[in-house]
Amino acid sequence: MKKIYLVLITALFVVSCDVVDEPYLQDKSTIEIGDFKKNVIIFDFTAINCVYCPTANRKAEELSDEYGHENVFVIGAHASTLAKPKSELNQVDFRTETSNDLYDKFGQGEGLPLGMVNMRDIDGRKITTFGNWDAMVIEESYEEPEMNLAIELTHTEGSQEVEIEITADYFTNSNPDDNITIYVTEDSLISDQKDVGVMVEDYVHNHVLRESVTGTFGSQFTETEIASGDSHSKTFNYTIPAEYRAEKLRFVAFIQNKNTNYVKQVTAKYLYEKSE
Amino acid sequence: MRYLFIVVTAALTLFAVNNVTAQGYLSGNFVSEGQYYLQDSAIGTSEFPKQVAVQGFLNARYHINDFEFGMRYEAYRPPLLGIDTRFEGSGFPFLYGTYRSDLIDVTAGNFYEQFGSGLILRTYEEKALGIDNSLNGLRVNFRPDDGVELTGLMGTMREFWNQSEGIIRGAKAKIYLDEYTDLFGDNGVSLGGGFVSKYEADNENTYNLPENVFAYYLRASVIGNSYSFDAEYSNKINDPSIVNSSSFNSGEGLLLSGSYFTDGLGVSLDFHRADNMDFRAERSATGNILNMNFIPPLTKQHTYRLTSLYPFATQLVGEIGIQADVTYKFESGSFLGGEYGTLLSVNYSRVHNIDSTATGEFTYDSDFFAFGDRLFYEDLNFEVSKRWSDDFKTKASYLTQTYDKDVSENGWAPTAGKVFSDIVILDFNYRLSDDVSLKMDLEHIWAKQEIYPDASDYVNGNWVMAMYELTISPNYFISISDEFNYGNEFAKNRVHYYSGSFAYVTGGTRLQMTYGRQRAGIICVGGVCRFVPASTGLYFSVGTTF
Repeated sequence: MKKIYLVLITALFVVSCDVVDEPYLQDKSTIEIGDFKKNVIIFDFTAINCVYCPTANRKAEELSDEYGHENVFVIGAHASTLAKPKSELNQVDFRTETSNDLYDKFGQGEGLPLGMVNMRDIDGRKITTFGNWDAMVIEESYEEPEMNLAIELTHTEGSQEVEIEITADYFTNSNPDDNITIYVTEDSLISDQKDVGVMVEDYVHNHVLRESVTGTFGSQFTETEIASGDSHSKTFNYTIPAEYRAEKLRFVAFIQNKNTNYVKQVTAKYLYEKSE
Repeated sequence: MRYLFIVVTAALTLFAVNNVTAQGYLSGNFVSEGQYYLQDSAIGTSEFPKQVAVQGFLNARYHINDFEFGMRYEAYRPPLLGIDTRFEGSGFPFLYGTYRSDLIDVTAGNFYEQFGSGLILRTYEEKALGIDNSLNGLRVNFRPDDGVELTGLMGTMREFWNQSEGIIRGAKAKIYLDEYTDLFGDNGVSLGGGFVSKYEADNENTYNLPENVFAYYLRASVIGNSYSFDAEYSNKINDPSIVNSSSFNSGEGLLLSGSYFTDGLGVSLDFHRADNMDFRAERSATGNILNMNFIPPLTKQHTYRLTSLYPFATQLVGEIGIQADVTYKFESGSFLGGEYGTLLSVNYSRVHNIDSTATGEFTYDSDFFAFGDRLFYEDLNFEVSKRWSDDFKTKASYLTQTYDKDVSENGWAPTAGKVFSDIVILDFNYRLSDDVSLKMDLEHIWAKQEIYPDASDYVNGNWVMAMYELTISPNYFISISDEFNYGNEFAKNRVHYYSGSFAYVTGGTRLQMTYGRQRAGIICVGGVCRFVPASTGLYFSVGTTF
């Protein structure tokens, strides 16, 4: 009788068990990439006192290295209370109005690290943990883009002024709800950073989101409908704040739907091209 | 809000009506608490834009014949400081129906469950920490015989106002061997064991992740007239997650606990080891979120104010430690016992990291019984309780502790180093009359920190504290206290944390108001801790049971 109960109870709550042996990493050669029909931007919400954030930073960097710096762009958005410097440490506050806006709207107070891939929805929201970024980058690479995007920067060395020209070549008719957003990021910023089990002195923070040329969620791109096959350009003038180092700046431009925030295409350019 | 009020009222009325017709009955409780926050730059409070936080809940259970139906309504508008802000909102997070008979209990809806000591599964609610990891699903308990208990369950876990993506399935069995044999004499002997399997889809493409993570535990327990012994072992297959930095090691836990007690003497010894036993309903969860299991703390859970400055938080990722506890009662009439007897307790605990060596990017080796070289926590404490007369008793304690502040508070990153402290406590209780009693509590801590932080650290160095509590039975309770961080490394932080409290109690109802300052710090319940920022303001609470 007792055995029957045991069998019953086990049958009711069937279990399985997946012991994983080496290799622990998936075989990348089996993963197809859509040859990047569409470019991808990873918004990496990060913080100097977030212990697991450097792991996510490295993941974002790795994806850009692996899939091409011309295809995958990274933005490090420092936010949340963990981004507040501890004064006993040699830390810098990298939070900005733009990164705070993004975190307030999409981060919903959740613990970092978290990120967004082209602000694509996953499980009904846009933020997700870095384990999902790779698969999302691949999914995005297959998407047929509505336009191609190019960025031109005109700048005289020594001057603080930059002229930014964005040109979109449309493959479909333009959508009146499309916004253009241009973010300024800076590389090689130094601050103490917590990492798993250690305090990394002089951690090098790349792609740090500094500010937005267009406002956090962008501004109207087209005034009239642009027909499929036609192009549209828009020019912005930007003054580099004195505290930014011009040679470390990159301008990341993307077209996004102003209602869903979904990123339709992205491009970026360093003010002074990096010798990679 | 009005709508909810109507729903609740209607539900209660319905219960009341049924109460008459079917002779069921209703029980439950209600608590509402809130705080008005004031800006107080002297203790480094952060701005609280909403100024007032109010949170509360209502539990109601209706019992009729073999059935029980229950619900809990919760509201956080917004939650009090220190409680996770993701609780903001209101709703019914806990609803269930249970049928009970001698042979079987079934529950559908939300429930709490613990397997053994909790090494592979423990769900519970702890309001002080803002933890509620109840399961939402089904549970069956069988009692086929007097000496056998079987439980099976499945469900998802509560995550604030959502449910986990991970699905938890499990079963356990316990058998009381002494019911079936006389082999053990008067001793109670039981064996237990069970398993849990968590399913979580693998949607990423970096790792070969296990989608079904299996864990089991085995337990044996012997209770005699003058001793008891418990052993529990748990094992979890590889479960790479954010908190274990994608380790593919399996997890192991071992608890050994023995105690001996005779007239006047009690001795207990504990050992435990937890290696990679952080088990959560989602791989990506961090903080006190979606924890499926619990390792019983190995250190004495102190309750006095200044002993709670540096409490140890259990490190599920890996720790190994021992505890010894001795209590002895000097008989009344003896030299040390005096007229009423004297109780002496000595307790020692020591917790280290586990000794491990990396064997690959995602694996490590560790010697099972080896202590690592990082001391997380050490505590040696003495307590003497003595009654001097019918109306007067005292308790005196001395503690000396080493606390790794970085492990408990800074994610293991070297920031503040270790804290070395010595604490003295004198606790006096006078009964002034049949209805009035006065408690006086005087405490002092001498503390030194390895790395001295800067002026934003409001909690370091020496403190002195005094508290008076007046109880006028059966209705009133008044308390005043002051904690003074006179030894803070930074002169501007040498601040008094004064507080006054008044409570009125009648029947099952309690009203309380407190005004004062609350220092920043971590609060722990059973080795599970959370940080609470400093605050100044007026706190109020109303609670009633019915």
